[in-house]
Amino acid sequence: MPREIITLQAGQCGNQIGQEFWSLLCQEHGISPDGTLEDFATEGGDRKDVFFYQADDEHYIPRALLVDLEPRVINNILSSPYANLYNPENIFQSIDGGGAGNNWAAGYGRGEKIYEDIIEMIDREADGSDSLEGFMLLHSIAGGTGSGLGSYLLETLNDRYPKKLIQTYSVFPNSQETSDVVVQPYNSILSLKRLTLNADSVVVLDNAALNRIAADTLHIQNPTFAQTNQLVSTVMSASTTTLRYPGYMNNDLVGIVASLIPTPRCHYLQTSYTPFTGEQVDKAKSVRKTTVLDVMRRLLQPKNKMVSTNPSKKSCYISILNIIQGDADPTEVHKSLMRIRERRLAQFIPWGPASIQVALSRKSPYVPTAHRVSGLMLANHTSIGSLFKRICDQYDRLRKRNAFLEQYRREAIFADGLDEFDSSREVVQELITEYEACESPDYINWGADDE
Amino acid sequence: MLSAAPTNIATRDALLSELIVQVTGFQVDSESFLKCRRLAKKQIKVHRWQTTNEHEVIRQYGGLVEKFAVYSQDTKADTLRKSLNSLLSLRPSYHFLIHDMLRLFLSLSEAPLRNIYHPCIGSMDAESSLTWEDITAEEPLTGSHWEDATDEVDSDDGYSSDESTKVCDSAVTLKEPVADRQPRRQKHRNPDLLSNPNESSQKELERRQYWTREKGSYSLFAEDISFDHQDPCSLAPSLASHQQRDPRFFYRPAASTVYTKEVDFVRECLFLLSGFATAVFRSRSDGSFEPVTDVTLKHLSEGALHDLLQWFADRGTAVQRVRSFAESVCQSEQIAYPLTVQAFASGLLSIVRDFDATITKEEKRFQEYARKMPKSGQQEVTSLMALGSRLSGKLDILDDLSLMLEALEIEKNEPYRDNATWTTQILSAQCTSIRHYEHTCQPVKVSVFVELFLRTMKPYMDTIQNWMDTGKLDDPQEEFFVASSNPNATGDEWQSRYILRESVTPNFLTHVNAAIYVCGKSLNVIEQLDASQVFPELSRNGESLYEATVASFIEGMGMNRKMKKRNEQQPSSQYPSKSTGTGSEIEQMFPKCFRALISVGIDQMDAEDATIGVQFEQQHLWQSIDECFRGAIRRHVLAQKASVGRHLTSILFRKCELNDHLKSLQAVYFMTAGAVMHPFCLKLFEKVESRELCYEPHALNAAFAECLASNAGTELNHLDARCFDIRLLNVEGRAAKSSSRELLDAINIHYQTPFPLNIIVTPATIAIYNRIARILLAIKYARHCLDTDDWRGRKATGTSNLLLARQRSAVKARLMHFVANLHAFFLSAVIHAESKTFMEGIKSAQGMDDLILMHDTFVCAVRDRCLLNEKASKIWKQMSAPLELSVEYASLCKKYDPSADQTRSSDYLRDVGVQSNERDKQFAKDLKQLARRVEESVNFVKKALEGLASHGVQHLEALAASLA
Repeated sequence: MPREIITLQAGQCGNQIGQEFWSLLCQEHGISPDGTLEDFATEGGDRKDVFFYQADDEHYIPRALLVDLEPRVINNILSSPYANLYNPENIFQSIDGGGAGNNWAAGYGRGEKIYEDIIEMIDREADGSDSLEGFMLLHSIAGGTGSGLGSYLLETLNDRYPKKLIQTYSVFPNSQETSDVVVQPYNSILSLKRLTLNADSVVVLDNAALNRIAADTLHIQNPTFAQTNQLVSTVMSASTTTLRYPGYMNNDLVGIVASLIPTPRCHYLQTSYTPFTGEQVDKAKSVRKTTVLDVMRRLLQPKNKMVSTNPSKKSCYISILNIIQGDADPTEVHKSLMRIRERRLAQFIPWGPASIQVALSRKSPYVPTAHRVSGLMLANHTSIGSLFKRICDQYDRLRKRNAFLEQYRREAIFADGLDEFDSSREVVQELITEYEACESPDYINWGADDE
Repeated sequence: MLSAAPTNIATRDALLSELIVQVTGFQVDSESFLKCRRLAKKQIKVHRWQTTNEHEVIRQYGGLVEKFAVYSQDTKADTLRKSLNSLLSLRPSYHFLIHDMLRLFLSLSEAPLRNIYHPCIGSMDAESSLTWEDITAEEPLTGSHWEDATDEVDSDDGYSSDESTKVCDSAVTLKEPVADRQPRRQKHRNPDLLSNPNESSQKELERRQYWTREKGSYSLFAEDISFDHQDPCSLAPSLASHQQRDPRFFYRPAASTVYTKEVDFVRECLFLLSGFATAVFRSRSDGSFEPVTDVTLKHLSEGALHDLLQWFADRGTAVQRVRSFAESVCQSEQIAYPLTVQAFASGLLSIVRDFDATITKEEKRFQEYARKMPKSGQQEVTSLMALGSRLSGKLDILDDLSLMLEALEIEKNEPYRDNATWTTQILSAQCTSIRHYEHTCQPVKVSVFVELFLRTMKPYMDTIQNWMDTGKLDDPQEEFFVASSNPNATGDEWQSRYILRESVTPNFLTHVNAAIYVCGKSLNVIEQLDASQVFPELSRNGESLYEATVASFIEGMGMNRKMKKRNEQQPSSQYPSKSTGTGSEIEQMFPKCFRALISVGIDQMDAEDATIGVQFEQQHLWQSIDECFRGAIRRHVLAQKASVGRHLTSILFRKCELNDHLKSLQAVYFMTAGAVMHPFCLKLFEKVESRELCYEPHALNAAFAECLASNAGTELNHLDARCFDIRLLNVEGRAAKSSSRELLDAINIHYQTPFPLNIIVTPATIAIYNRIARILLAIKYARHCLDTDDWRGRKATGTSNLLLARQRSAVKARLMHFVANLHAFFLSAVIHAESKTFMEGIKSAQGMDDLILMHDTFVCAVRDRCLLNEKASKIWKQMSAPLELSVEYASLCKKYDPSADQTRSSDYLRDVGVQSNERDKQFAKDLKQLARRVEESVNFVKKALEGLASHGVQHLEALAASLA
């Protein structure tokens, strides 16, 4: 009985990383770009039905909804070899094709308009599942469609499927540089409110960190979006590997998320991955010795984190889940955990246990890798608060000047005022406070005196 | 020489006939003549006659001359030398004639060059030694003591003077021609001699004889036997005096004793040893012999003679015991003796036959002496002592065999005796004897006993071979240590069909009996699986187990394998059946080295015993015979067992899909098949919480089948839902009242294991599997409770809610951490690790027992490492407390869940609205208490585990660290 996951790809970024994700998933499961099973992939022992279902002609179709308000990216997909992979009914392109224009409110407003179409697609996919586990949203929070329409989708899903798990892979803007999207702090704040209130877990992917990894680890000084998206797709693939290659543990998303997120609010997850050996990047092909301890130690190194945060002295891990792929000896895993605990390589919340979970998973037999063991770390770390603080800082600067607000006011949600901005800012501030509370030994009563 | 004769056949035949007539004196055309001629012709036909080597002949004669000279036979040496010179100085027409003649003399003589020189009185050069005649001529023997002893006694006591007057009318030929002594005595009583002027000297000499007693100090016999100067070697006078003083004969009438000669005793002893009735030895009621006391010798005291004869009597008893046992077993028609006993008897019989041959040889030797004695007039050395020393080697062996028989109480060979015990005793006793003789450095006995042992064990080894090669128990006499069990016996096929009787295992097989037992059982299983199965190749190259073991044993002893091979070329015989054991058969069956050792050892025991001993010891200095033999058996038995084991293992894997069944067991009981067991567990927990399980326990099987069906086509294809039967145990009638935990504890998964895998996966191991499965279910249920708690808290806003949510989070995080880590430890560090080792290990399994042991070890290791052992029950009780607290936490959250109120009417909400703060406070209070209990419980477990880890249970250190 599969625990199906429906993927929603919103906006340019969401569809691009989605495309990379499906492409990688097809390779790992031995599915050709047109959805048919490769001859060599008949005995994989994998669970394709978590992310795919089979059409009448038995070709595999992703449980994916492709939504965008401008046709460019989707057209690219439809002209790629993977054009026939997707269910055409699950591709939504705006009729006017205007896009959201990097305006959260425009995306959100368009969402309301296309509610019927979207909900019909979601319901159809959900009804086609035996035991739906939840939804996965791929988007960025800085633009218009990904953030605005994505926010609307989150609210819709939360209302319509309150018991289902919602996980997002959210690409955060590069907050340290001047972005070409001027209003990204507005978009981010508004999206963060939905991510905080309507999602169960958010895997934070940071463009700045992706660029850093590309430059430092892969030796690509000016990575293209395609290259950074491959890094994202690798992480996404690794994080879902326990679902696609079921083992004796972590067979569902709920189990993973529950152990990672003890405090409901603090559900923003950082990722690390090692070793990166993208076939697209020749310079990164150097092969290292990979033992479980090596991999687990490297995963804790800041340079491998895919989020650029500024950890303070108080910053600590709330929980960690390491997904180890490949030929790992279980006894070696426990020895490595002992070593990490003994050497205090990771600092944990003072009010709770040092929760490091390890999930062992198989590797795809169809994608040869040079390394024996590879690992993904999903970490719940309080330093993520610094990212939100930066966004809030940027937002506050813009808001103080009331800059670029006009375009928002044109949309229905802001027609009656900018309360939504304030409300979102408040939620994000609560979130930052919650992370600060987590760093305190007196977490349970932290902030009670302020009241 | 004949080679030089004309080659014409007719001429040769004529010459041959003439030669036969000349040599034998047979008449031409008589039957004997024809026989001789046939023999001679045959000899000529098959024999190659070489030309004479003149130098060799001369050298041989030179050697003979030298030999005479060395032995002080100078006259002979001179004569031979002179004769040789004169002969060689002749110049015959045919140059080689003289040499041919000389060679013929040498051939006809009894190989004087090679013969050992035996000095005897008769062969001494008369002229070079001082004779009593010379002495008495110079100093005549005078005095009353020189008169005939018998006459003196007779005259004193009034008894008959004739020695032939016998008190005991013996049937044995005690017809010593005493008359021949008389002329000598008369000769010595020559008046010329009596009147010898040296009479005083003679008296003095007589007085100085050590047996001469002082007057009046001895009994009436004192003067009866005096020194006989005619028979100076006779010890009769002294012995007579000893006899008077010997209390054993003190009260016996003097005339009741018959004096005879030692040669008669020798003959009687030979009769006794041959198993015939004798006059000198009488049989007691218990079958033993004792010497009679009324026949004696002049030159031995009766005590000494009795001791000597007693020795023979004892040996005779021993021989008789061995002989009668061997013959009774071998000739018995009515009683079906065990085959081993028969073989043992046969071996004994061959030893007895061998001994009989020796006795026959001794008799011939004795007869020669008996013939020579009257003729030569010289005293021959034919004494009991000599006979004893010649036979002592073999008699000792027979005596030991008799003692062995006595120890075994084997004579009481009642047919109702337990054959297996009997057989075992026989084999073990022999083995022990071999060890004993080896330790006491008696190589000859070792050889004999090894040979006997090898013969005796043949049928036993054949039974073993049959069992190990075919799995069939061919043991009509029930001698074997493996026996069919009672058909009504309960238990599994493997353990109860055949039983291993440790108590009746011969001691040389104790180290391999289990292997033998298992090997046969394995073959039985193979046969049951498929009768047409080809049995595995024998590891012995077609040799029987017995042959192979003996060959290895010989090799192990450092002896030459070629000898064995040469023996093999002779037609091999089965072990000898009744009364067929002969020496020739033994030679065929056993390596010549042993025979050589035995014959050399016994015949030349006195001379070469030490040398042989050294050689023998050197050959197996590094390893005792016992070890060597055990090693030889072990090698072949284990090889065969391994071969059968491998075959069985491959069948179990290939045909019975053992691997799939083991994987299935782990997949379900250890829940390693997450794809199936995870959804099944969710369904199960759902049913437990909804109490549906109480009413529809059978729905579990359906749910399991459904979960399994959804995974069709994946790698879990080997899982067969039909093999599993999941049900609740021991909750009938009270299921509805049971808690969730009790319901989960009542779940029992039955696995239908097909034959022969049920030998490996026994109900006992299934019970352990179930125990582990229940614990895993408990952990999974705790985790499920925590997972499905309203963890998302999406709507949680407001400070009071936030604080409560944090409190919940803190407790939940603690519990989640404990449960998740415990789950991970059990599944990953214990089950996965052990399973990996086990599944790799069983590939190298060598048979059923290996598989059973490995599987049991695996299951028990998992159980123990999961702290489910009885000894760790207290620890486990503490460890399960947080699991129960997790369930409690979930129920607490459910109890205070505000969303539950949403289902109620708004009026109700208004009424209770004021109470919500109170409820939150109560919830917070309960949570606080729960948190305290959780903390206490977790800390206790941590300390307990750390304590255990510090006492050597190292794997718990990781668990303690991860749970903290």
